[in-house]
Amino acid sequence: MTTSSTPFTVTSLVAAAADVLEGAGFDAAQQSATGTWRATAARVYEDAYSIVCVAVYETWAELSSGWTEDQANLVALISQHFARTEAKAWDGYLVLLTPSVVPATERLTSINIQRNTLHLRKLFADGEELRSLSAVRRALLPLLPLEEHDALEPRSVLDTLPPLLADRGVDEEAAHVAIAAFRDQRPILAEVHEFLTGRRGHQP
Amino acid sequence: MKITAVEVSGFRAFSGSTRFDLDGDIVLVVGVNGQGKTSLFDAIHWAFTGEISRLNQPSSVVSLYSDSGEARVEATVVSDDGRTLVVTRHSDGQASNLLLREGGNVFRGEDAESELLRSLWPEGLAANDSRAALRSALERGVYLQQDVLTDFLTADTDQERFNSIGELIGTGRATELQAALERSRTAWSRVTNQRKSEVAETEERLNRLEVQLGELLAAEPRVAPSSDEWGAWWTQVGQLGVSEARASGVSAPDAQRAVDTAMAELRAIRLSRERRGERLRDSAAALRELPSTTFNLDELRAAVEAADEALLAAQQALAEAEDEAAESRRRQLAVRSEREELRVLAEVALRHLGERCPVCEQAYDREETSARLNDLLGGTVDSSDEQATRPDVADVASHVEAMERAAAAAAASVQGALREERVRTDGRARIRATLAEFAIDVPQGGDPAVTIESALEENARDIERLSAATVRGEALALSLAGAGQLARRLEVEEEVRQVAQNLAAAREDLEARQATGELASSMIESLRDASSDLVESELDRLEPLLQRIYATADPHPEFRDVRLLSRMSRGRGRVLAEVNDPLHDHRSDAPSAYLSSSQMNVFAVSVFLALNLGIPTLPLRVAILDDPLQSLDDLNLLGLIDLLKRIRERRQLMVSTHDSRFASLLERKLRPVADSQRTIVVELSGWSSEGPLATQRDVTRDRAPIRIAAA
Repeated sequence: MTTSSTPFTVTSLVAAAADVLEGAGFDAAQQSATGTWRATAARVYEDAYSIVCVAVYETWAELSSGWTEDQANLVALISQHFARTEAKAWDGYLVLLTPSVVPATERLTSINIQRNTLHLRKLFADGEELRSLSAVRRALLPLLPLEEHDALEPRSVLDTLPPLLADRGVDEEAAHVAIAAFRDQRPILAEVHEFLTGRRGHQP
Repeated sequence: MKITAVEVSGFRAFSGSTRFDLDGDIVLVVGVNGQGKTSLFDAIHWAFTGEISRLNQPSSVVSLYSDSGEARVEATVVSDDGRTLVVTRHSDGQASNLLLREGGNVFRGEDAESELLRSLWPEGLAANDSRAALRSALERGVYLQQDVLTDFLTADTDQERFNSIGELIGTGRATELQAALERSRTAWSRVTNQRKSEVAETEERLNRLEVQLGELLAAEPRVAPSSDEWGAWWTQVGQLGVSEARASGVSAPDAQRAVDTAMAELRAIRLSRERRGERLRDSAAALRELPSTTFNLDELRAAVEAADEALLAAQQALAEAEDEAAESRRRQLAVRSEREELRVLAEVALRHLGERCPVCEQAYDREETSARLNDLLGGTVDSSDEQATRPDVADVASHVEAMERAAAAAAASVQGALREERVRTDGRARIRATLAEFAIDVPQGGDPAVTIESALEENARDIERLSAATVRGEALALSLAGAGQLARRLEVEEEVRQVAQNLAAAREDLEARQATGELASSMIESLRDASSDLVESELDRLEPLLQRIYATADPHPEFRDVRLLSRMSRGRGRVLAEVNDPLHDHRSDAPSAYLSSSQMNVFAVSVFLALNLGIPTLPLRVAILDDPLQSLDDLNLLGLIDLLKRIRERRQLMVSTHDSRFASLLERKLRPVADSQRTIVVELSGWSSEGPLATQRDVTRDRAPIRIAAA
């Protein structure tokens, strides 16, 4: 069952979550590991730090009634592979997803599920949130490594100036030339002039 | 830059000397409150900045139990390219001094402060107070202190937030660029103005050339003189004494100049001829005015001699007459004297006349005697005879004067004759000299006047020929000029074309220069507002990262978006912190009104980490968080730790906690899972006057981390 507010089915949600996690470096466990779980579909993933189970339920009702059992299933699975003394045994995550929308009367229940940190950290998203692929990614963000973002690239404030100046009507390429000349302690306007002249010369 | 070791002595809680090995990507500092966790992080901060903003007194960095009374911190940092800097700062409570060692170089005092800034944070060099800017940058982006954890969001004003972010991202560099552009524009404008003047001069020159060309086009074309005409004229002027050496040819480029030079020579020759004629005419006139009377000087001299002799005779006669007259006057005077004596005697005798002579007593005829005596008394001297015999001196003198006049007249005649002769001689000599000067020979026995007249006629003919040659020369020059005009017109047309071409290029260059200058002005104007633009741009850039970090912790079920917004208000930049509920479109720039203190802590740590990770020019690639887990509930604690776990790939992370349970959680969650990772646990305990007891250990690496997926 799907609702009118989400484009996802259980299958597409599982696929979308798998795509995000595998794209972030997680390895998928055998599907047989979750074959008997309460979730409509469940997958287990693992990276060097964490063990993550994505459990997708057709409805909120199924989720609210079945998630504790699936949490126990996951704890048991982890226990099969890691001793309690091992750090990773405490690094499990249960991602609870449903394409249905949590009724307003059940909202507090859903919040309490998220606040419950017993055994595992729980992440939760329902059909109200899951309206796009990016929303699936957003729901999984706490599990993902930081991306190579533009903001992380080393660059001087001077590098950010040309587009800003362009917004105020300044020729962006000329601004780049001026800044390069400024950096190299060369005559700024002579360099800009040479650039503008050369560009005019190449124009038809 | 990564911190690899710190040695602390006499600094706050560390009264003794303690060295910490911090050469890991995660450093967990664990200890109950008051055991020196904050002191350790403060020591690192103080080593780089020399000040801790939240401590009002500089002396408070010195431990009360310091044996030396000084605080000393030595921090070792390693750059990404492997350079090692050892930063040593010490303070006696009054002032701090810095020593910086890098390789073999040692810097001290202000040199060390400058070098440190240059090595750590060149962006900060543009700030008015570089050290304060470095301190602010470290406190905002590197070292999150527990006492001021949420100050950035709750205590700082919008404007203070704006200034902090501006300093962090280095807006001062934009100000430097603006100043450099203004200097460059000034120099550029100076040269552009020179070019403008040059263009104006070229325009004037082109105008002049066009006027000249118009005149050349309007002028009547003339035919060039023929070679025969040219040769004939040069022959003519050659005969008149002009050098023909310049007559290279009628079509030679210097033909006009050659004619001009020849004409100048002609004028000089003609002037010479005219002067010669004038001199000859003067000579002819002088010749005519020479005295024509001839004198017989011998006769004149004989007459002079005769006159002189007559004069001499007359003068002699005069002398004799004067002698004779003098003798006559002498004799006349003697007679007059005798008669006077007799009259006196007669007067005396008359008074004494008696009957007898009183002298001889003889009788005498008294009557007769008396008569006689009266005669004597009344008698006069008759000088008529004497006068009659005296010579007439006046006549003689008159004669002498006549003789003198005659002699003088004779002498004057001679002098006059001599003078006239001299005039005639001199005049003829001058005329001869003049003729000799002009090489005119007077034939033997010939009349100079005739010769001069002949010379004058020849001279007049020369002048006439010179005049004719001059007229022909002028006509020749005019023909040449007329013919040269065509060539000149072609030259001017070419020059006009060249100058117009140059002018077009110069105008184009000038317009391009002016366009460049205008672009510079536009850049400068835009840079004036660049601070707010930069902050806004950087916040835009940081927004996804901040969202990402905040979402990783995910502290609030509704307000799941946070933003830092840049605004300009009353000419000042401001930064607002905003929380947003994307599902219900609720937003607020007063986050503390909607978030719990625990959630605000997560928000503050998220902002701190976003600045730390998002501003690549920060001084250190380190994130130091002093007990950020206080007052966090379990959910936020797990979220924050999950976040920190992901930071280690990009930053050296130092986290302290007072809670041993949280410490265990951190140790597990931040364990190394690869050979390149190292997690160090520093435990501080048992504080005494020597300071806390510090122990260190490494967290064991997880050797087989993936098992379920591998099964």
